[in-house]
Amino acid sequence: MKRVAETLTVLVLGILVGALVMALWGRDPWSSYASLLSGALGNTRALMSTLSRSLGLVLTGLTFAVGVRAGLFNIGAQGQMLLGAVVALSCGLLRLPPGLHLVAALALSGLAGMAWALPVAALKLTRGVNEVISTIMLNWVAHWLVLYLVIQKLSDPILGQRTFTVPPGMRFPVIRGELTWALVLALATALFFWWFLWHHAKGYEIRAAGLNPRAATAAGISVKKAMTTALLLGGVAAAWAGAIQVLGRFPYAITSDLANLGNLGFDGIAVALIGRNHPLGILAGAFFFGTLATGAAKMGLRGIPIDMIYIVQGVIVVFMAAPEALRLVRLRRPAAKAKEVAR
Amino acid sequence: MRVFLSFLLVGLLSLGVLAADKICLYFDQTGPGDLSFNDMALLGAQKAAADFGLELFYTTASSPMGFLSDLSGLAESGEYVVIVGVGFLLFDALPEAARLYPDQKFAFVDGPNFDLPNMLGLLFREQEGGALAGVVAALVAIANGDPAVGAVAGMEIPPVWRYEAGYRFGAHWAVDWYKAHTGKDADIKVMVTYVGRFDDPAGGKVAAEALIRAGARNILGIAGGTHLGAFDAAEEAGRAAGREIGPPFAYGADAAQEYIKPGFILGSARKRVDVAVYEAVKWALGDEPGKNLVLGIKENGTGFSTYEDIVTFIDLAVKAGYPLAGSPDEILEKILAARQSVPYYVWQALGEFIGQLKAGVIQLPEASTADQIAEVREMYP
Repeated sequence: MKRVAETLTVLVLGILVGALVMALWGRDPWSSYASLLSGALGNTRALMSTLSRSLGLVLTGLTFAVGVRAGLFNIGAQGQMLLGAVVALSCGLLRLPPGLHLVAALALSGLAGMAWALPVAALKLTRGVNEVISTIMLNWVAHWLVLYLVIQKLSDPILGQRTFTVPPGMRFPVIRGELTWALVLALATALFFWWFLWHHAKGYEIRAAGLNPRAATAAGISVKKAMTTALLLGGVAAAWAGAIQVLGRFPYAITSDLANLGNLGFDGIAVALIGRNHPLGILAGAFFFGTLATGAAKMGLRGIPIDMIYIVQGVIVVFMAAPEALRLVRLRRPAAKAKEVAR
Repeated sequence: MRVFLSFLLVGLLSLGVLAADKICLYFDQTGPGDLSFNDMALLGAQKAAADFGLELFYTTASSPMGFLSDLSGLAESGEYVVIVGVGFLLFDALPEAARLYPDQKFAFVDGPNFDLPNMLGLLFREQEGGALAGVVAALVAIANGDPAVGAVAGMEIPPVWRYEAGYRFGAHWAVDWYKAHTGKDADIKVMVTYVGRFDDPAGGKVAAEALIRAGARNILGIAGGTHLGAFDAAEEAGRAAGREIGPPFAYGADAAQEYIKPGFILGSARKRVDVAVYEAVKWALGDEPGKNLVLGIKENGTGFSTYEDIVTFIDLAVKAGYPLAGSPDEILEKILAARQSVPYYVWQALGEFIGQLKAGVIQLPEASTADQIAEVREMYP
């Protein structure tokens, strides 16, 4: 309850500071916020767009959150997301019956995400390499690898600016508007993470390892195994975030600048912080983030330049993410000492 | 309350209670402020708004992830006579929105109409502007004894391919023209580097520096914001050699960009986005069904920057508060001095080429698909 009140307080603060920014530049903040809301939630079509936009954020949010629960600062979701997207897309080259095709694409994409998380775990647990360093580097390797594949190997034979589109039998069916049944994948994954972390022994071990690795070790828990599990699960979630951009969102392809995959991996960090690293909180955080993103165009029509929209969005997100970020910094201090045990 | 009211307003508008009386420009990336493609679109829309008594609204996509939902929201409002999508990246989302909202008129700057009755495709013969730059670049290169001319390109998309195809054709035409008129032998290679982005000046600079090192001291920029870096590279190389005026020379695209590095930008391949947007509004106000409008040199849609163009864009830059390297008069003087620094026959050849192009004597190669551009690259190396 206290956390909900805290979240609402920072939300109001963020909105007020955002309003101040707009007012300082001589724009009417309240009509801008009203158009943001109507642009994102004003009718069924807009709501569907917002939901569709939020799904990937749920998954990358989970990636970061499960890492934090294990005492890790895993920022590798971006690379795993890109790789998951390109692997899912490449499955479009296979000939498989509809439906099965989708399942196969998701399975392979999830495996690819896991494979990209494996070196992070291996480097951390055998050589003590900080996961922040290894994930940043792997993100870039994935970025350039995927860019190469998209431009050189998978591009549309007629259009240069995107890849081929995946066959209809491999797509998530449409529910309504922009929203597809990828919704179920995102919700089910969030529910699974919640069940796993709070109702399964392995999940308990992850949380114990994150809270106090020494105590966990003393209790006979393998901190190494717990961290590896968290990284691999996170890899799957991030890869699926990329996969559903290709399999569950128009135009069912990857643009040559990778821009339709966006910064899902990094935005997921903010979403996880807003959602207090709890799977159910992340659902709310992702929807909030999706609302900000989808309402932007309507705000633009109120004469707010795009850069100012970015600033206002950024301000609100920073406020929303601050409480959890500060809590993590405080928590990590004793954890840092205890890291020796993990090695 | 305000939220409620605005919902109500949206509802009323979608019921058609209020008539559509606005123009909407929807930019795919970056938006106005580029002093080129996007600002020209805005210029054309402003002129149309004034001429036809309409209001003008514009907005920029915050991310390609939002293209479809943004366009849907705009169409739903029913406020717009026409929604003009500016930028090739809207290639998937714009026709999809036009299919979803058959009562809303759309126009696509840089793209076709997809046989949709409610969409106007606005295409340019970019080959023409590219070819004119190619003629000038190659003749200047020959005069300076360079082995090659270069281009810094953005993404591999049809409008850029068409520029490239024209540039290659123009350069080869110029070599033949030179041989025929002087009886001397010449050979020019065309080197084109694709940076892969339209908003990466640092990447454009690196690409241009490599081209200059390879002997291509005439470089066409066909990469939007990216080729601003090519301008920097040309100026730096020129100044390092102790020159106030090129070589090396860069060439701008779309807008008349000479004022950005006066003395080191010899000309620009024009693409009149303003003319296209103006035509789109005119079309939307009439009863004509969707079609493709192809603008070329005959329609005043393409060309090589003229004196008037240069003055117009210096004006625009002054109004936008762009930091010029001197007073507008000094800038203009330096731009003209650069044009006078190259042999006179360059302009003579350019005039001949334009004449033949308008008369239909010269046919430029088509390059709207990957296969076609591959063929052009082979034919005009």
